[in-house]
Amino acid sequence: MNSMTRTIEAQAIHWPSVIRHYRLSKGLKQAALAHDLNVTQTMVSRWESGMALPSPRIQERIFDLYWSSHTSVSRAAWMDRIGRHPSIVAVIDGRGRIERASRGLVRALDCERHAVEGRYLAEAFQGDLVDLFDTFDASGFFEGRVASAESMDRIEFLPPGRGGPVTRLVHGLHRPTFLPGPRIVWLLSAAEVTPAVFDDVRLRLGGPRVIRKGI
Amino acid sequence: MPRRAQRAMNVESPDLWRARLRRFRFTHNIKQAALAADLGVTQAMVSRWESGVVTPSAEMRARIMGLFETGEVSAPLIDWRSHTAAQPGIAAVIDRTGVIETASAGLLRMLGRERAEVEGARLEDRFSGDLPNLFQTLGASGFFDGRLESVESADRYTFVDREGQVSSLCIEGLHWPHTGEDGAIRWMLSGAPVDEADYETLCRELAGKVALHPAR
Repeated sequence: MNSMTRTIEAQAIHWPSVIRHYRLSKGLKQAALAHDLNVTQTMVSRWESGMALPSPRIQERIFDLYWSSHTSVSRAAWMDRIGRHPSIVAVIDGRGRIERASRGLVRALDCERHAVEGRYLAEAFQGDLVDLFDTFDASGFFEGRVASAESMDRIEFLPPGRGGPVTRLVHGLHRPTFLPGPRIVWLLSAAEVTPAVFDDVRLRLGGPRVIRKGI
Repeated sequence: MPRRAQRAMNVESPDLWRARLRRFRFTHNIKQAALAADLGVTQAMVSRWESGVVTPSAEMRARIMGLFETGEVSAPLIDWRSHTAAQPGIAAVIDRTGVIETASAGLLRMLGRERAEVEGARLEDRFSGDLPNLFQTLGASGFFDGRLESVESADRYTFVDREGQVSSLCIEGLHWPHTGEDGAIRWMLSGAPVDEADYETLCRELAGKVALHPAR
């Protein structure tokens, strides 16, 4: 399957998108961001045009800026909190591996934590969720080109060593999260919905999903 | 290129399209072949446009502009507050005075109310029972002064919908303080509905209705 062969490919962060997206979202001029990062405006301009790559130290600083616009705790505390989250939340890496599953996800799928955590999406699920990953991958989600996404998915979970899929209808919200490495992971949050809400939101979205690109 | 000069240029000028296409490819980091595939033309054609030898046809110009529009639409970064507002599950941002600053899409769906009816309202105006009690407990425990790392809870959300119908739902909750850009601590509420059996189990696990985890 496609997602299996992809596991050996390294995903490069697309720095021009990541830097421009942050800067324009915050309404900063190149000079202001340059000041914050203690570099020249020319340097910011060169990063954004793809003519230069930020140094590893700067790359980390930029990921920290993203991090602090999302949350005020450390990444370790955040990861731990996701594991305890009562609603459906998951952290999925660029190879489709489920790094962390919330209590709510484990409950919604009616399984044990190890039946979902550590597994690959393409192996643990079929249907919309796998398509969603493939779409994200093709859209450069893990390279930093996507700002957020919303979806209405029919989740089909394949419990290990057990029969047929466990099917759930969920409304999903997705955004990239910026971890050390630097690497971008997918923060999935979702809630189960009734078939009526499912149809209604799909109509509003004009399809199963809407992906909002960065810059 | 200065905007004024660009506007003054004739749309049929090869130089205009040459610049536009090259800039688009450059900012999106895509190869001529990829752009050609998106537009349904050969790579040689893109190359001819970009060298300024040929101007794209009217139909092709429209297609290129369409691609620019969809490809260049920029959604702003989704920060902690907008992420909470868009949550499909139950989530809210509540300030230290008990005012609901931000309500999630899922919370509004549960309440059957519009955003304007919930945001800006006080917690006790929208809920009775466990949730206002939880707010009191948090306040008394120094939650808003940074003394707690997180709080787990089991709550019966009791509320009146727009038709005057009283509903009561069992919710498993996780709560944490978020320090906003202004330095003030807010309550990030999150929850998910559970059935009666899971609710009873949860209450046993918590040895009550709430577990407070102090900040380290």
